[in-house]
Amino acid sequence: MTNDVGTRILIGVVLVGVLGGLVVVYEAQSPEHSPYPTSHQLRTDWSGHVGEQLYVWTRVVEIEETHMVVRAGEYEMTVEPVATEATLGDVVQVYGTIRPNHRVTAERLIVSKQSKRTYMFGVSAMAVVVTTGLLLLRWRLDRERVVLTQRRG
Amino acid sequence: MADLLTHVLVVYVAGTVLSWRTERVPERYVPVAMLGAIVPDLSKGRLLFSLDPLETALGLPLSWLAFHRLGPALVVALGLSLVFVAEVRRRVVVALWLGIASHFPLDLLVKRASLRAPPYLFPLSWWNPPALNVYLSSDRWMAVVSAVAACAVWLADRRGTSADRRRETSTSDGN
Repeated sequence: MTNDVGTRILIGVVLVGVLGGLVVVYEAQSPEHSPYPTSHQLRTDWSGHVGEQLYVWTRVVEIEETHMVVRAGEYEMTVEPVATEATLGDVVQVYGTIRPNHRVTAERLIVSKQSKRTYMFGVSAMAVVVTTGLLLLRWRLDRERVVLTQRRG
Repeated sequence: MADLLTHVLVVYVAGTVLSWRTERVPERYVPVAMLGAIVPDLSKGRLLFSLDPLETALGLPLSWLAFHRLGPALVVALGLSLVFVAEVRRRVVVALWLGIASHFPLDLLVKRASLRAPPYLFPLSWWNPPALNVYLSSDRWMAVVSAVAACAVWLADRRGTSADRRRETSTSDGN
């Protein structure tokens, strides 16, 4: 491997190409490998999937006594029964059967409280700070060669 | 995903303890492996930047989610290794890949209503492994447990380093 900046940029460009290819292949092929209808399929043809199983991450927008309305991206659905601990704005994983008229009979519901999710993003930001700090304790930037090199001692 | 702090602290604890036991794992590669543990969660970039405009402009399907799969994450690690000096680049790649490899087993523990995890092994396989449903990503106890373990390891590491320094000093004084 070389230290030459030009060569590294060239290798970087090739890697970005490979990465882009993988991303495109993943996104293009994932619908046919998914055991469940995709968001796009449900948005465009809900009735064509009635009776199939559905698994989707949603956000609660309305709660009634017998059902709740949840939003997944650009479409909404009515889910029965109501997740007991769900409140407006919570994220709910819905696994169940697709019914006519954008309704779902849920078999399993998992609720992530919105307040806990805010905490999750906070500690995740801390992880980036801790890692960057430790990295800079052990490695330093060699401006001349434009590389990270190990600190001595 | 487990929260990111748990991911990096688990790698910190495992890597530091390993560095005590074998000289083949120098401590300076521990934060490199921690960086590797972060790579799959680049998929969270979707919360910051939408790929829709790029998708429309290129006419190709794009998704941040692909970063949370084995193949794309390993390629990102190769790219990151280019930032490091050439002499250590191979070891950096290994450290980054080990960090990435640690990420997926922890994510298998996340609760999923479908009882199935995503196809992490893409492009090797589209298999959806079983989800072990132990915790939610937003649960606090894993971060607390991993933080306590990391503090204990950090303290033990500092003591070990101080003892080594004292030993080196007394040896050189003896000489």
